[in-house]
Amino acid sequence: MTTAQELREKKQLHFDDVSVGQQLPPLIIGPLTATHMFRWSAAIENWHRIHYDQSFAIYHEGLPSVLGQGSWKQSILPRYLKDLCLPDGWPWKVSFQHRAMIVPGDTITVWATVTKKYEEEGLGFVDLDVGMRLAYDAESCPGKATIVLPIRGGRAIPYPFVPPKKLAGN
Amino acid sequence: MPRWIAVGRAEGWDDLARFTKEMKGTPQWRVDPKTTITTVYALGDGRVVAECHAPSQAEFDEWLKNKGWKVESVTPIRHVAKAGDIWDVRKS
Repeated sequence: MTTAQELREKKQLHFDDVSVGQQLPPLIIGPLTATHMFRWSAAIENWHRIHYDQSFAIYHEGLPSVLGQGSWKQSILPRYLKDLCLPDGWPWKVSFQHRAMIVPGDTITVWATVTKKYEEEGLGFVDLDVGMRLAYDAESCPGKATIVLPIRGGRAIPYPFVPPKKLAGN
Repeated sequence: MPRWIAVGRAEGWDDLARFTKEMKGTPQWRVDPKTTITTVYALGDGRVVAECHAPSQAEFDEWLKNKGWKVESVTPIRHVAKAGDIWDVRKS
C-alpha cells in the first residue's frame, strides 16, 4: 500500500519515460478482511447484506463469503491511475468490467500496461490496459484507461484538465 | 446450491499451524468459482468436519482427496441454524 508520504515525495512519471508494452508499477492491496468490506459499506451506506453478513452471503445467496463491493473497486482503479500520474499528470478516463468476486483473504494487484502513446496539443497521452488481479491469477476488473503525462520540456497539463478537441469525443 | 458435511480424519490437522497452512489462503477454501469450503472444524477427538457448497458432490470429494482426508461420511445438508439465523440451504 502506498503511503501519503510516498505520494508527497513521488517523482513525476513523464511521457518520455514510458513505452508500449511497459508494465507500470503495480499497487498491491491486502489481504482484505471482512472488516475492510464492512467499513466500505458503512462509509458509502451500502447496506446489502452480502457485504457484511457472512451467514446471509453463504447460506442465503450461495456466495463463498461476504463480497468486496463493486464501488470499492471503482474507487481503487481511479486512485491507482491518479497515483501513477501524480504530481502533475492527469488520469483522464478509465472503463472496466466487474468479473471475479473479491472475498476476505484476497490480495489484489492493481496493474497497468502501456498499449499506445501519442502526443496531442503538446500533451502526452498514454493508453493502458488495466485490471485488478487476484492472488490465484483471476482477473477481477479488466479494462482500459488513458492517462495524460507531461512531456519533458513541454507545457504543463491544464488543471482542471480539458481534453484536446480532437480527442474530446473519444 | 447443494451443501454437504464431511466427517473424517486428516493427519496433522489437530496442530493449529498445520491447520492454518491448510485452510488460511483463499485458494484453500475457495476451490473454484462455484465451490467453497465454508467451515472446517478440528474436533477434540482428532476427527475433522468440513462443510462445502458446490455444484455437485464431486467437487467436494476432489477437495477431500487432494487434502488427504480419510473420509468417514459425506452427507447432504437440509437446513442450518447459525447463532439464531435459520437457513433452508436447499433454496440458496
